[in-house]
Order: sequence, then C-alpha cells, then structure tokens
Amino acid sequence: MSASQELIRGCQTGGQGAFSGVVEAHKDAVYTLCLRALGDAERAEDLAEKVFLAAHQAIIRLDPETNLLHWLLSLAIERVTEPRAASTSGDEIAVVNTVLSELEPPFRMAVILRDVLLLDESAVAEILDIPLGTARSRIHRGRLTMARSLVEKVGE
Amino acid sequence: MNSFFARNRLSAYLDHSLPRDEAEAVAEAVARDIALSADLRAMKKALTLLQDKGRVPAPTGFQARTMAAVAQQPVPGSQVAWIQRRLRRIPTELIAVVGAAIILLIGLSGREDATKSSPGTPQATAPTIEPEAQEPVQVTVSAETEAQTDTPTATPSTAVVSTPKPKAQDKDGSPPFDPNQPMGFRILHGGDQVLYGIATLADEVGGRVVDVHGKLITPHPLDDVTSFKQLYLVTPASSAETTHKRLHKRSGMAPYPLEGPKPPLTPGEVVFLVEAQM
Repeated sequence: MSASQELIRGCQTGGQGAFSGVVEAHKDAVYTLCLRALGDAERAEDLAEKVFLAAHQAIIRLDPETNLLHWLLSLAIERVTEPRAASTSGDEIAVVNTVLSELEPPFRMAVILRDVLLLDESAVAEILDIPLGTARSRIHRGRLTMARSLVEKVGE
Repeated sequence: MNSFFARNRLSAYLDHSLPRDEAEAVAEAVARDIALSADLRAMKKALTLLQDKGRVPAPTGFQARTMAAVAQQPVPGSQVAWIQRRLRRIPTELIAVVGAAIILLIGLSGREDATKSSPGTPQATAPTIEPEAQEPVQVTVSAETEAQTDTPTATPSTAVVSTPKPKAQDKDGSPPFDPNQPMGFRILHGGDQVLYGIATLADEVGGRVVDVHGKLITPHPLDDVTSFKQLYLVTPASSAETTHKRLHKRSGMAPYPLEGPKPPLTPGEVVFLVEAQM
C-alpha cells in the first residue's frame, strides 16, 4: 500500500488525528501552489487552509486509489481566483510572482505544477484534467511567455 | 530543422525528453539562430529561477492553525455536517417559505371576504390556493424510473422499460449501477463553473438537468452567495450506466442512495441527484 493510500485509509478509519498526517505531508506543496497562483502570502494561507478543510470533509468518501497530492492540488486549483498584481520590489521572489501572475491562468497552472512543484507532464495533465498533449503545449507556451517576460524585467 | 519547429521543441529540449536525433537538430538550429538562442537562454534562466526559488514552505504554525480549524468542523458524514450543508441553502428555501406564506395570507383574506359575503356556507368558499400549496407534495411521490412512476402519462404498456441489470462489480472501480436504486453524487470540486460541466454531461448523454419539479435548470456560475446547488440529472435508461460512471469519476466519492423527492420522469428515464458545491 502506498503512503497516499495509507493516509486516505487512515483518515477514513482514524478521524482527525490521521488527517494531521495529510496536512503534514502536503502542506508545503498546497501552500506553494496557492502562493504562486495568487501572488499574495495572506490569501495563499487562507486558501490553503480552505483546501484542507474541504479535503477533510470529502476524504471520507475518497477512493483510496486516488493520488492524494494530485487530488489536493486539484482542489486548490479549483478555488484559485485571479492573482493580485504582484509587488515590484525587485527581489527574486517578487520577480517569480510577477512573471507568473502575468501568465494566463491555464498556462500559469501548468508551469507552477511542472516547474515549481516539479511534477511530470502526465501528473500535470491528470491534475488539470486535460489531455497529455494539451498539458505539454501549455507548459511550453507558459515557459516561453514567462521567459520573454523575465528578459524584459531583469535583462538577460 | 527550421527555427519555427525548433522553437516549439525548446521546452522538451530542456527537459531532455526529445529523441537524440531531434535534440541534435534543435541544438543545430539554436546555434545558427540568434533569436532562438536568446529564447533558450531566457527559458533556462526562468526555469532555474522557478526551480530554485519557486517552492516555499508553509508558514510557521500553518499546520496547527489548520488542524484547529479542522477540529471545529463537524465529523464528516455526521448529521451535523448534513445539517450544515442544508443550512447553506436556507436563503433559497426562506424565499420559498415567505412566498408560500404570502400566497396563504392572500388565500385566507379571500376566504374571509367570501365568508362575509355568504356567511352560511363556509365550506363552499374553499380557497383556490390549496392545490398549489400541495404541488410539491405530489412531486415528492414521483419515483426514480418510469417503471415505478404513476405519473398521468404512464400507461401499463409503457411502464415496462428495459433497463440494464445491476452489476456486482465494475472494472473501473466505480460502485455497481442499479437502475432501480437512484443515487446521489456530491461534487465538491469543479470551481464556479461546475454547473456547466454537469450541463455538458447531460448534453453528451442525451439527458437534461432539472429541479425537483422537473423544470429545466439553466447552468450558471456558482459564487460566494450561491456556492451550493442541488439538481437532478435525468437521462435515458440506455445511457444511465455511463452517466453513473462519469458522475462517480467526476465526484471522486462514493454515491449515496437517493431518498426523498425526485422530479417526474417519462418512460425509460433514470434520475441522478447531483449536489454541487464550489
């Protein structure tokens, strides 16, 4: 049984104590996605908490074969609203937020999943519920747009 | 390979996922095209930045705060959770109740007027509003398939509908479909556009999305005010099993037996309840 299956089954039989393991295992990934998608730490934390609250209510009926991380990330993506304009303070974190916030949402999500969370293309396709070819195309176009935007902002 | 095709392969080139000969062709194109070379350098820089600085740990205390919030939630699947879900629907129901109360008041005032005009025959002044008030009750007795309905359009000859037999196990892991046991599905993800997804599914299986009275529902985005919607997906019996599987896949959760009111059905139809929440 995989770690993901163990966590799901634990929640379905063990209650809130077991759910703490889910938060522990995936809080960084969920928070990172929220932060990079929204570009705002406060809103990202609120959203990440909402994702886990929704997961807590739904996990009791989740198919144990489900990839837990992918499921949590899809819950987060469905709740992401438009990003706030990122700050222009000039440090690298702000630059990351800025270039990501300028991408159209479908490309932004694909790039975050692939290049920030380092998931493979098939995982990106699964989480976004799109064909593999579409995922590849979004990753490529997102990267290219972001790269050109980065050159404009900080030079080569 | 020309620059156009090479540019479309830059991403795969950086991921080292191109076949060797194709990767060599991209490298050659990059070497002879300055713009392509600039794009490659910029993309490398962007990826390095994202991979090095993109991932961040959750803030200190996030886990404790989240678990405290979880502890304040009702136990999933409990009656409290069930009641909380229903409480979210109060605004709509409240409007319905207030509307019914107004209609009742109008009816009562009409009865009083009639009583004043003919005081000796109170029974003869039955308010015409009563049948309306009872309509929802009539709807609630509608059954899940035409084989079990007693709607006025049903005839004994059409009541026999060939519906698929329930299966003990499905290959894809979805719970077995039983045409005689209507099911409800909860869809807790899908964002504000979730109703459009359900409407699309209805189109694809030749069904329709209706409310409990059988009235067609126009899909709309959910929002913070209306973040929950309960609707019925009515499909032909021939596509019911497919619909069951697709709803289960869309929901990701085990369905539950649908009890309570259902919309009226015509011969050969099966109903599914969908509870969609943003």
